[in-house]
Amino acid sequence: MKQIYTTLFWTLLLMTLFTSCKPKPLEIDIPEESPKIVVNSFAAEGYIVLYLTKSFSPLADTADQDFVKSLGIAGADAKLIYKGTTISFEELPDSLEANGVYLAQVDNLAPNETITLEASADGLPPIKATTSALPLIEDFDFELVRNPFDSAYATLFYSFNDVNVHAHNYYAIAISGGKEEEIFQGVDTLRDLNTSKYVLFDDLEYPYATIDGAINILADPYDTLNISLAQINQEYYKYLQVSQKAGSFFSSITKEPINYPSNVEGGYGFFNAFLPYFARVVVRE
Amino acid sequence: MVFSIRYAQQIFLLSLLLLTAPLVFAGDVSLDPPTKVVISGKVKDADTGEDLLFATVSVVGTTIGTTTNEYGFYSLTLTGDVLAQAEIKLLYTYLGYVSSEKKVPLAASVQLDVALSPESTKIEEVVVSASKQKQKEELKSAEMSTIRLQMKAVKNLPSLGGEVDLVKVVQLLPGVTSGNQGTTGMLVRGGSADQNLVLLDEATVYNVGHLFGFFSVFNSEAIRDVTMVKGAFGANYGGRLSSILDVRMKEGNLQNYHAQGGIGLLASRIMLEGPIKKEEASFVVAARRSYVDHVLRAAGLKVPPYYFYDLNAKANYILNEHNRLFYSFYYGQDKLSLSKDADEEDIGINFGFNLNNLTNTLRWNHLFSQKLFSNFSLIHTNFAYDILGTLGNKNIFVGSSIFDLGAKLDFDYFRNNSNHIRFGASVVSHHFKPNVVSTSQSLRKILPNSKPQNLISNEFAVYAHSDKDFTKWLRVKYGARLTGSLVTGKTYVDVEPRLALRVLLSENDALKLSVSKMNQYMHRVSSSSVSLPTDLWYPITQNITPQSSYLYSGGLEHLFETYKTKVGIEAYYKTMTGLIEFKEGANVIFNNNFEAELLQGKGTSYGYEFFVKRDEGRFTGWVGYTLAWATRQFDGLNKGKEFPSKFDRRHVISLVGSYHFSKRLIGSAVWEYQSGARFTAQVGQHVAFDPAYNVNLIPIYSDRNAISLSPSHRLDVSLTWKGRTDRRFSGDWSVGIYNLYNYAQPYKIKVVKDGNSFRYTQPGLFGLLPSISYNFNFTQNKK
Repeated sequence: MKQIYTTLFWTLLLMTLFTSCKPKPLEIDIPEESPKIVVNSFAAEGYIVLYLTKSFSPLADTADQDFVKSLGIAGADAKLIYKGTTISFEELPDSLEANGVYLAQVDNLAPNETITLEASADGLPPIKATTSALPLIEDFDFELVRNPFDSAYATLFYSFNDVNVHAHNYYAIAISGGKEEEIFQGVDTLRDLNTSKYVLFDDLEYPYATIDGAINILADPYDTLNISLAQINQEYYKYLQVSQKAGSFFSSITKEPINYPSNVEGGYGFFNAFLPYFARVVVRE
Repeated sequence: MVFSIRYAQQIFLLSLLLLTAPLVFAGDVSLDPPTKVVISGKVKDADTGEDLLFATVSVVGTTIGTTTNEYGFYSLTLTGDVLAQAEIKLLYTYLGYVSSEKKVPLAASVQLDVALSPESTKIEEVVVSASKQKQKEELKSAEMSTIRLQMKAVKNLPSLGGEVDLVKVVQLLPGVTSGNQGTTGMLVRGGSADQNLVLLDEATVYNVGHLFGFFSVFNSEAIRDVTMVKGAFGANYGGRLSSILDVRMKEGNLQNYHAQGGIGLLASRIMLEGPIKKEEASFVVAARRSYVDHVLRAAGLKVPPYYFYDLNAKANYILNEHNRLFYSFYYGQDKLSLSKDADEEDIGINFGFNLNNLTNTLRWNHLFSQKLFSNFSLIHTNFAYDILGTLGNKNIFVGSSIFDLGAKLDFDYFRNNSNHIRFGASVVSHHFKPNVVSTSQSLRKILPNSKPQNLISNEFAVYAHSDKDFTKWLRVKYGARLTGSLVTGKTYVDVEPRLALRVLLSENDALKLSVSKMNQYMHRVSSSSVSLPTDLWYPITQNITPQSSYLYSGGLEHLFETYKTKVGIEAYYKTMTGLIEFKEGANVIFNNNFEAELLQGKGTSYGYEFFVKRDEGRFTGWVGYTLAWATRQFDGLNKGKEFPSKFDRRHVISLVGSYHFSKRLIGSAVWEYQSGARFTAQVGQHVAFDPAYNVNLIPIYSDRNAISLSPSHRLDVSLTWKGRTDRRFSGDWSVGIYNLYNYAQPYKIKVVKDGNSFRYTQPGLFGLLPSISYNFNFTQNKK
C-alpha cells in the first residue's frame, strides 16, 4: 500500500514538473513576397471603377485603419484598351477615405468585346489583365419576403432566363446590406454567418431556360437590401467558387492553403467588367 | 492494367500451380534418394513452448544453414559430402537465447524440435554468439531493407510517458520517419502514411493509433516481435506501396501460468498466459487502459475525458505433430465524450467520438511433409469511427467503416538447402462505408444527410517466389505476384515482378540489389495539414485507379565479426503513380461525394540509408542515417509543377543505445534528429471585394510545401532496475526523461504579437517529460 502512495506522489510531482517544462518555441523567418498590384473592379452603366491596392505582409496589422488606407495605390497610371482605343483612368479624390480608386468612362460596353487593363505604379511591377463585358440581364423577377418559418430570415424568390440555352453560361446573384452580424446566439441558434452573400449559378445545373429559386438571408422588417444579378464568365465563376470554399466553415477548421486564381498578369485580384442588374429593396413584413 | 485474356491465362496457370503443388511437393519427399537426409522441426522457447521465428539453424563446420519461418518451422536437406559423416552437429541460435548444439545421426531423415532457453534463465552454457549467427544469415540472405525486432529487446528504450511503443521504435529505423512529434504516423522512403500495410497476426490494422496517434494499438505486453519490410518485397507480401509492418502476438505459454504488466503515468497494462492443456494448448490475454486525461486533470490541466482501452487475446492448439490451430483477437476503442466544460458546467453540447478496431484471425498450420509447410488463415477486420453531436435538439452523426473478410493460403517448400520456394494465394472482400452523415432539423441546411454508400472491392492475389543459391556467391530471390481488384464496373489486374539478388563479395561482405513492383487497391484520403484517425479509407473505383510503384534498391553490407556489428548502406529509387490528394478547398470531413474532390498524381522518392547495428553485449543499439528526397506532381495542384512531399525530410539521424551496467541495471538513450517537415507558407495577402461588397483578406501562398520547419532534435534517456528473474514474482522500475534538454519539436507555425508588430514562432508539443513506470512479472513454478 505504501508503495502505491509513493507511486502516486511521484506521479503528481512529475506531472507538475511536466507542465512547467513547455519548450521555448523556435524562431523562424518565412520569406515574404514583394508587394504587387491588386485589382478590384466593377462596371456600371458607362463606367468602369477600379480599386488598386498593393499586396502586403501576412504579419501586417490589418486592424490598423491607417495601414489599411495606405494599401490604396495613389498616383497609378492605369488605362483601358477597348476597341483599339486607349482610355485613361482618372483617380478619384482621397476624400472617399480610400486611396487608389479610379474611374474610366466607357460608353456602350459591348458584350463579348475584349477590354484590356494596364496599370503601373512606383515601386511595383506593372500589371495587365483582360476581360470582356457580358450582356445586362433585364428580365430579373424577384420578391423579397419575411421567411414564414423563421422570422430572423428574409427570403428572396428569384427568376431569370438563361441568356442562351445553347451556350454554357454563369451567373451571380448578390445580396448585401442586411442587418448586422448575428453570430451564435447561444448554442441553439446556428445560422448563416454572412448577412451579405452571393450565390453562383452554372446553367448546366438547370434543365430549363428559366432559372429560379430562393435565397435566405438574415434580415429584419424594413431593412434595405441591395440585390444584383450579373452574367459572369467561367474564369470569374471559378474565382468566386474558390472564394466561397475558402470562406467556408470547414476551411476555417482545416486552414488548408487555397490559391485564388487571378486574371491579372504580374499582380493579384480579378479584373471584371460584368454589368449587373441592380436594385434596392425593402424587406416586407 | 485492365483485365484481358492474357491475364486470365496467367491467373489460370498460377492457380493450377497452387492447387497441384501440395501433391507434387509432398510426393517429392518419398522419392528422395537415400543419399539425402532431411532434418526438420520447430525451434521453441524452452520456458514457454512458443515458436521462435527466424531462429538460425546451421551445420557446425560447414556453411550449410537455414532459418525458421514465421511459424518457427525449419527444414534442412543434407546431400553430398556431409553425409559421409555418421553424425553432424546442428547449432540452433536465437537472439536473447542460449544457443544449443545437437548431435544428429545421419542414418535417416529426422524431425527434431529444439527448445532454447532465454539468456536470463541459463541452464547450460554454449558460448556461441546468436547475434553473429543471425547477422551471418542476414548477410547470406537475398533479403534487404528488412529489419526484425523482438519486443523484449526494445522494451527498455526510453519513450514518451514511459509507454514503450513498437511503432515509435520502428520510426527510429533508417528510411522511416514519423509524421509529427510523438505520434504513430509512419512515412517510409518518401511514401504516404497510407502506404504501409500493418498486420497484426496477419489481419490488417487500418488505424494504428490511439489518442490521435500518441499511442499505437500495440500493447507491448501482447507483442512478441515485428518484421519491418521497406523494400525488396517477397512475392508473399503485397497490397501497399511502401512497407509491410508484420506484427506477431505472443502465442501463450504452453507450460506455466505467467502474468506480467505495468503501471505507468499514462496507461497501465496486464497480460496473462498459460496452458489450457499442458504442452498442447495455451492462451494469452492482454489488456490496456489509458488514464492520461485523469492524470492531466490531477495536474491541473483542463482536458476533456478521452481514453482508450484495448484487448488482445490468442489461443493455440497443437492437434498433432502435423497440425496446429491459432486464433488471434484484437479489439480497441477510443472514447471521447464531452458535455461539460473544465469547470464541470454544462455547455449545452453533447459531443462524442468513438473509434473501434477489431481483428480476428484463425490460422491452421499443416505440415504436409518435412519439406512442405502450409498455413491457411481466415481473417476478419473491422475499423469504424463515429462522431455524435447534439446541439440543443439538433443532432449530427458522422461515421465511417471498413469491414474486411478474407482468406489466405501460404506454402513453404524447402526444396533443398539452396532453394526455398514460397507460393500461395489470398482473397479479401473489402466493404467500405465512407462518411455516413445524418443530421436533424436546421443542421440539414448546412450538412445534408448522405445516402449511405456500401462500396465493395474484392481483392485477390496469387504469388510464387524462389529463394535460390545459384553459386556460392550468388543468391537470387525471384518471383511474381498476380494481383487484382474487382470493383463495380471494372476489374483491375496486374503482375508484380519481384527480384532480389545477393552477391557475396567475401565472407563478411555482400552486395544486394532488388526491384519490386507493388500495387495498392485502396487509398486513405486526408487533409494534407492534419492527419487524423478520421482520415478516410476509400477503395479504388471505376474512376479512382490503384496506386502503383516500382522500387529499385541496392546496398552493401559488412560484418565486423569482432564487434558483432553489422554495417549497411542502401540506396533506393521509387516511382509512384495513382497517388491521391484532395483538390484545394475540398471539404475533408463531412463529405460523402469524394470522387469529385479527389485528384490523382505521381511521386518520386530516392535516398540513401546508413545503418549500424549491434545486438549483443553490454552495449546494444543502432545508428541510423537517412538522406532522402521525395516529390509529388498533380496536374491540379501547384499549377501542375512538381513539389516536395510534406514529409520530405532531408536528413534523419537516430542514435539508439542500451548499456547493461549489470544484469539488473540498464541505461538507455535515444537521440533523434530530423529536418523539418515541409509546409505551404503564407507569403503575403491582399484585399478583395466579392459581388456582395464584402471585403475579404486573401492569403497569398508560396509554392506547395516550399518551406521547411526548423529541424528538430531530442534526447530521451531511461534507467531500468530489473527485479530478480529467478523469483516467482519480480518487479522492474523504470524512470525516464523524454526530451531531456527540453527542445521544441516544431509542428506548426504560430503568429505571435511582439510589441506593436507580429512575428512567427514554431511551438513544440512536448517538452521535458519525466516518467516512471513499474513492470511486474509473475511466473508459476518459480520459488
